[in-house]
Parts: sequence; C-alpha cells; structure tokens
Amino acid sequence: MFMPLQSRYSFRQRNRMKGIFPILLFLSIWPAGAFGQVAVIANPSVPVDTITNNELLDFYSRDIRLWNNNKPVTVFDLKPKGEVKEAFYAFLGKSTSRMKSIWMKKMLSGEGDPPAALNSEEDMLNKVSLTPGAIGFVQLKLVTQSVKVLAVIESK
Amino acid sequence: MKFKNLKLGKKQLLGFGAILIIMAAANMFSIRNMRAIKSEIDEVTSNWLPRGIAISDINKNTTNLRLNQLQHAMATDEESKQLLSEVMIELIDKINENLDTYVKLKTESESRNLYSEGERRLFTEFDIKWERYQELSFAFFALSRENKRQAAVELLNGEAQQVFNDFGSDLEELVKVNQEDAFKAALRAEDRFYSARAITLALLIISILLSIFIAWILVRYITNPVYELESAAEKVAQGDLNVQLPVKSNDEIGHLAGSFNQMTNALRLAREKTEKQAAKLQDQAKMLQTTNRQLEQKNQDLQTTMNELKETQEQLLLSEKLAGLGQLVAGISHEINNPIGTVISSMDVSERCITKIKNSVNDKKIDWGIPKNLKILEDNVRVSLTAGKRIATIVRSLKNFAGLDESDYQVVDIHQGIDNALTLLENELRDRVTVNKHYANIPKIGCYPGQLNQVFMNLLKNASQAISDSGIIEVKTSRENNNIKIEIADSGRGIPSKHLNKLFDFGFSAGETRMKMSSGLSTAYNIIQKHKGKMKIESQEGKGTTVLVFLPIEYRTERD
Repeated sequence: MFMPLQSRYSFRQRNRMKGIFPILLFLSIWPAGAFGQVAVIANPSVPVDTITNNELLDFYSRDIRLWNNNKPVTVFDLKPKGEVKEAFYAFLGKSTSRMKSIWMKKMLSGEGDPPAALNSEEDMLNKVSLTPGAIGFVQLKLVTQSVKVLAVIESK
Repeated sequence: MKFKNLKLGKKQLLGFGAILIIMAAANMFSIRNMRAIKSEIDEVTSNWLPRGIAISDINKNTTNLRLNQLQHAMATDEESKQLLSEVMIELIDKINENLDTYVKLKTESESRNLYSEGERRLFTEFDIKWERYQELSFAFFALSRENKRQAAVELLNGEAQQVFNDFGSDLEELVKVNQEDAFKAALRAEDRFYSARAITLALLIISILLSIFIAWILVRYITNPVYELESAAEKVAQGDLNVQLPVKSNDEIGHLAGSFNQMTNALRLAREKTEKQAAKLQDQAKMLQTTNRQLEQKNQDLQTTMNELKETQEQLLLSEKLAGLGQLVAGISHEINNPIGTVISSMDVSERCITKIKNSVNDKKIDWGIPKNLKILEDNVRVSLTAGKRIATIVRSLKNFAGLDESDYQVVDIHQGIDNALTLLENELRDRVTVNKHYANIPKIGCYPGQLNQVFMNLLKNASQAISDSGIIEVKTSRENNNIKIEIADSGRGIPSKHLNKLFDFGFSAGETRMKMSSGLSTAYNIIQKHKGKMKIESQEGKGTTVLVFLPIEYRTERD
C-alpha cells in the first residue's frame, strides 16, 4: 500500500538523477571555464602554504585576525559581482549577504570593520602582493610570482 | 484452461482472490490519495505557513533594525550607542535565523517542485537589496561612529530609505505570494480530496458490483449444481430413478454429478433386476405350491405304499417263519425218523427173536438159540429205549420251542432257549460242527421266550451256515453290569467289511446258503430292540464272525 507513494518519490529521484548526467557531461566537455579556476592568494609573507575553506572562513568572518606569528591578517573582498566572487563565496560556504551580516555584527560589537572591497582582480593582486599578511582571491590564470597560492578552488 | 474445469478450491480461490485484489486496489487508491492530500495539507501547514511567518518576521525585524539605526544616529552618548548596537546585533541574529528558516523551507519546497517562480524571483531581489542595505549600513555606522550625525541621517533617509522601502515591498509581496500559493495548495488539496472521494466511491461501487458478479459466478458454478444434486438426490430418495444430472464442469461437483448418474443407473438396473427376480420368485412360489400339493399327494401314496409294504413285510415274516418251520419240521422229521427207524428195525428183530423164542418154547426144545435171541432182544430193548428217549427229548424241545411261542411274557433261563435251539439244529450240526458251550451263572430275565428262541435259532443257524466244511461254534454267556451278554462265535468264512453295515437290512443276504434266512438278522435285530437290548456283529473275512447280544436284566415290564 505504501509502495506507490514511495515509488512516486523514487521516480522523481530517478528523474533528478537522470538530470545530473547531462550536467556532468556538459561540465566535463566545457573548457576550463570562461574564468577558469579561482586561486586563494596571499602575501608571500604569510606563515602558511595551504589553507582550508574553514580556516579561510575564520579569517574572512574576522574571528581570527592574527597569523601564527602574531602578524595581523588582512582580508580583501571583491566588489564586482561575478563568477569569481560567486566561486569564492561558495568555497567559503556563505552567501555574500550573510557575510555582510557577520561583518555588520563585528562592526557593531567593535571588533573591526568589514574588509575593503576592491574594484578589480588586478587591484586585488596588487593589494595582496603589497600588504603583509593579506589574503585575497583572483582567477588562477592572473596569478603572478608576487603572491602565494594557498588554495585552488575548482570551478563548477 | 476454462474456469468451469477448475477444481472447487481453485474456483473459490480465484473468485475470492479477485474480490480481494479489487478491494485491495480500491483501498490502496484511497490510501494513496489520502496520503497525497495529507502531504499537501502538511505542505501548507509545515512549509507555506512557517515560510510566510519567517518573511513577516524578517519584515518586522528589518524594520526594527532600521528604527534602531535611526536611534543610533540620533544618540549622543556612547552608552546608548553601545546598547543600541547590542540590540541591533540581536536583531541581525534574528533576521539570519528567519532567513535560515526560510531558506530551509524553500529548499524543501523546491525539492517537491512546489516553490513558485514568482516567489523565487521576489526572494532573490530581496536578498540583493538586503545585501545592498547592509553595505549602506557599513557606511552609516562608520559615519555614526564618527558622530557625523547629519551625514548619517542623510544616508539613512537617502539611498538606504529607498533600498529599505524596496525590500520591504518585496517582503510584503512575498507574504502575499506565499499566502496565495498556500491558498492554491489548499484548494488543490480540496479538489484532490473531492475527486479522490468520487473515484473511491466509484471504485467501491465497481468492486461491490464485481464482487457480486464473482459471487454470482461462484454460485452458478458451485452452489447451483449442489442444489441440483440435492433435488436429484431427493427424487432418487422418493424412488424416481430416471433422474439424470447434466455434467457441466470438470470439478468435484461435475465428478459428483457423474458418479450420481452412475449410481442412479446402477440403482435402476438393480431395481429392474430385483423386480425380475421377484416375479421369478413368485412364479417359483406358485410352482412350489403345485409341487407341494403333488408332494402331499405322493406322500399319501407313499404312506399307502408303506402300509402295503408293512403288510407285505409282515406276510413275508410269516411266510419266512413258515419256511423256517418247514425246514425245522424236515430236520426234526429226520431226527425223529432215525430213532423211530431204529425202534422199528429193533422191534422187527425183536419180534423175530420173540417168534423164535416162542417157537422154541412151543417145541419145548431148549437149545442154544434162546439165550442168543434173548440177548438180541435185550439189546434191542435197550436200543429202543435210547431211541425212545431221544424222541422224547426232541419232542420236548419242539414243545418248548413252539409251546412258548408269542405273546406270553415270562421269566426264563435263556440257557434253556439256547439248548432248545441247539437240539433242534442237531441234525444240521452233528457231523460237521463242534459246539462249545461256556455258560456262566446268570440270572433269569423277563422276556418273550418264543421270540428270543427265534433269535437264537436264527443266529445259530447263520453260524452253522457260515461254516462250509467243519468248524467250531462257541456259545458263551456272561453277566456284564446290568446286562447279560450272549456271544455266538463261529469259525466260518466271515463277512466282508463292505457288507457289515448292511447286515441288519431287511432281506440282506451274502450268500446262497443264506437265502432262506434272508431276513434272519433283521428279524433278530428287531426282536432284540423290542427287548431294549443291543446287538453287535464283529467279523473278519476268512476267520469268522462273532455276534454279541446284550439283554437287560431289569427288563421286567409287561408289554401292552
């Protein structure tokens, strides 16, 4: 008696699964993307070589504001909306709007101001390379020797 | 395979199975629909309504936030600014909570394809505006912190006001859309409920009709034949054996009908046979009656014949007796003739002797002839005396034998009877047969002596005739309990064993020499039976025969 109901759902699930295959196919044949992969970059002075998304979230939500060597952490945001920003926030696991809420709370509690939002990826690359202890994100193909790549976000 | 050829169990299984399946299908359909209706109602109560509430809360909390921001801008002292900041942090947390709730419900709703495109568009726009409002808030707080009140209030009343109004109307729109969607969903659920109810009712009616149809088929294939069988059985019970059932199916009932037909056929045949036999029996009874009458007639005839036979037998007995008497008379004549001859010849000689003696006396001549003649005369007298005595003995025996005849019941010594018989048979026995007598001391018995004498006569005569040349007859008497036993054994030729059981038959005879006494043993047997005695014959062929006669001593009763 319960079978029809279940089968209805499973039918729907199958349909969804069916839907996934063309997407996977599409992704596999799509060239590395219009924007390619996104790199989490840092000033070469930072005392780490890799970073996880949770550690990155701790830095961006301003919960942790010092590196291991007690040097201050500076994070940069990107102003223009686009695939690079989307990919980065997806990696963080927060929406841009929610990130703003977090920053607003920090601001109201006097724990610090929101990160500076830069106007372009070139600015981001430049600022990160010049600011000690800085973290930011640009397309992998834009990365230069002036910055350290801590993580590469696989594009979707 | 046709339905009607299935076994009863399979028929019922199929019928009831079909009914069950139909009922189960109807039930499943209604349960499925009820579940669908329930899930739709659940969708409204657990998704649309909380979603609407979340949006309303967001609207309320963002409005509150904006009020606090305005107060923050107006506040002069750090303390109240600090307090307002804390309130705002709480509000932001609440808004985020509301957003989390909404997004979670949205995801659920999307997974069920129930999230409307209008709502999605509105929420996306709201999110963008809310983000923009927060960005503006950063600038506002920076100004407010630096006590640039004028600039801060301008910012709030300028672009921020616009953004706030925009997302506020978005939120209101969202609530509206949400309510409309919920209402539509409720309507859909209602629609589905009514249609499901209608379909369920229809299914119910169809299943009832189908069940009735199936039941009818079952009745047709199972119950009706049973009724037919029952009424047929009743007819048979009432004696109508011409009942035939149609064999419609190949199931147990069909087989039963076949067997029933066979049974009635067999019964009919049996009844016909019985009737035929009864008729035959009646005929036979009639015949029997006729035969019975004939038999009666014949019986009467037989009785007559038997009476005649009895008379004949009696006559025969009489004639035999006469024959025996004749023979006896002949023997006795001879027996008497001899001594009489002797007497006559000796008297003749004596007469001559007497004449001679007379002459001599007359001549007065006494010579040597007188003593000689006297001697002869003396001898003759002695011989004559002996002969005369002999005759006297014979006559006495004869008298005894004959004089005691018939009727008179007397108490006698049976030795006398045996002796008399031996005397009368002496002529026959004398030279050939030695008779050895062994008489024991036995009491006298009551009897009909004449009849017993005849028995002894017959038995002794038989014994004598059984001896061809020469032999011995042993006559032995003894007492045995309450009987006296008379044993007459001869050393004659004996009797073949095949004849032993026919000995007492009337008229039996095993040899020419016995022809004359053909009825001897039979007569003897009858007489012994009359005396309540027994008679037994033992014989070995070639060695001789022994006849045993037992007579009760107690036999005293006078016969009527």
